[in-house]
Amino acid sequence: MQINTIVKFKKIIMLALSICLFFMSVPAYAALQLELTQGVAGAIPLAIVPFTKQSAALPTDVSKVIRDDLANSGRFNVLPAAELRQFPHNLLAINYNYWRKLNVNDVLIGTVKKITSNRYAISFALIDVYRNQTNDDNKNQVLVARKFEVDAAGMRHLAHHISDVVFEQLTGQRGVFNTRIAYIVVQRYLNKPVKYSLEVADADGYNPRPILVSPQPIMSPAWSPDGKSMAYVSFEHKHAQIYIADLATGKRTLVANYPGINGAPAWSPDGNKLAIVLSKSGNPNIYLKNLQTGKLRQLTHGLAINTEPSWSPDGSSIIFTSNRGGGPQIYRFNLADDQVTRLTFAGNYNARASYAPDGKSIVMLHRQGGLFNIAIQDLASGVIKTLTTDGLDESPSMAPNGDLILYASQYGGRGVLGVVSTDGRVKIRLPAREGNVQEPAWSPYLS
Amino acid sequence: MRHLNILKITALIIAMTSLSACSSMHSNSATGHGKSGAYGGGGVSAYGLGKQQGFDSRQYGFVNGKPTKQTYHFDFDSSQVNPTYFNNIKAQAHYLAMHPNARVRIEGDTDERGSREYNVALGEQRADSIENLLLINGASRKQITVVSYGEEKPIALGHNEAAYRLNRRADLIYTAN
Repeated sequence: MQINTIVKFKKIIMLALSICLFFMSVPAYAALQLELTQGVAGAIPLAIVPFTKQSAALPTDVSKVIRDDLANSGRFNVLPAAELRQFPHNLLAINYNYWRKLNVNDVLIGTVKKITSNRYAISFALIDVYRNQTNDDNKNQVLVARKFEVDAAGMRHLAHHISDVVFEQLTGQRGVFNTRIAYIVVQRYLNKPVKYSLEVADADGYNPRPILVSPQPIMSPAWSPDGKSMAYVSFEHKHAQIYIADLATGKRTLVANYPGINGAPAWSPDGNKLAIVLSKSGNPNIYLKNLQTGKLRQLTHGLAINTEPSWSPDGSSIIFTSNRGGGPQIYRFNLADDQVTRLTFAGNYNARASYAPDGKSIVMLHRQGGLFNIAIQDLASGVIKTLTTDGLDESPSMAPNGDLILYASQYGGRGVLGVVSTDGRVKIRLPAREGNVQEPAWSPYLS
Repeated sequence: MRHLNILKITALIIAMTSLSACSSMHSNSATGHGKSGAYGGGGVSAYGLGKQQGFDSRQYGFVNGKPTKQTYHFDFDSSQVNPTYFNNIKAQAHYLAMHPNARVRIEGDTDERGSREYNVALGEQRADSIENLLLINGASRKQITVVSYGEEKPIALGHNEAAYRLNRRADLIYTAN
């Protein structure tokens, strides 16, 4: 097919692929099955025409991945494929009246063609069916169109990339379909040791890969800002230690092994320092570990619990949980002058806070009426809004676009992951195939 | 090395003194209660010492003179030791004082509610509370190691208060006796 507006985009894809290389050697399957449980009322109506008829013969059904991404985001009302009667693969084949009658604003069309044994050409065009037709070639209706070449292993990530492009074009917000999530899976068997594993999967739960498997607890995974390393707490030696793992090679470095607690690692935005919690002084305090020099700087003092540090996006301050006022509340430590300010006042249990990417709000664990839920607090007004209602929610982790929060929840008596939008309108559940899933961490943008 | 906080020790000495008075008040009770960790309806039960002099070591998990694992339970978000355990802890401390080669590991745990790393901190404070009582009563620091697993190692898997009560605990485990 000939589309003049097609843009070559191979460079970005090659970059994405090189980052994803080590995830490619196993067949794609999902350990977590994503289910949209609540979508936006005014979701954007969209039709996605299957890119090819023989999708089963291809390594990845690209248009199905895109359909699942966009439908599960809660922001789109994607027309069921079974309701489609027309299947255009190029602009000239589009009958605009047909799509307008289906009440969709936009139609995504595309093609997948096998070039060589392991090489595929994939193209897509997103079409606004209400724009005026100015001439015969229908170019004016194209919002965005691109063409790519990938091998079999890259098809799924390319599909997520197309989802990102469509999402941004239609919502104005950057998509997170090509990001990853880390989480801990706990499997308890009768008469066998408990199995803890730290895994990394695509944002939709596909391609899960273990980073560490242990008979002892693993906690607090934290992505480095470049997405290439992960810090975590391991009890493999029957006490807490903090390690940093290189995600490409699996090589790991022991970074904190002091007497008592070694916990809650949090990377500085520049990736040079790790905020950690140590109790070597007698009670848990927050320290900064310089990853180049190894030097340690103690931030908090006193007799209370000080834990769960999280950096402001500009790196100027650290928020943390402390029970210095009685119950756990969120405080801010200003790194320039060591001043500590209390940030939360609603309720008697607020913990595990982290900043939104714009620094204007924090998400945290908030107890209300005996129930533990995820809440967001606007820092300027102090107004707090509870986003979940499950009652045993914890460990909120924000997506890099600031739109979604991944958290741990309970469903059917098991630990599962949930996603809620920061406006509370979209809810997604990611139950595990087996075991309990806990302590999720959303990756930064990876390309 | 971990530093014991002077204020904490002082507070504990005061607590222990008042507890001795308390337990002697109840010492006329006819039988001792051998099951550590038992809870009464109000969350507190009184334990008598029996008529014999000193401790009846069997009450505190000693089997043929050898100590066994002890479990002490706590209230939600609290690291205060329930006074019903004071005599038990004293008995463990005395054993440690009499057996310099004996070693214990104290594991602090919480229920599943609340934040995980905060619970690690809370579990450590629970284990620290037990450690401090052992030290005050004659155990030596080098005999004791402390670890907190927070909410990561529940012994009861339910999502209800019955399970939570069992999981809010500090386990005293003899690694050498």
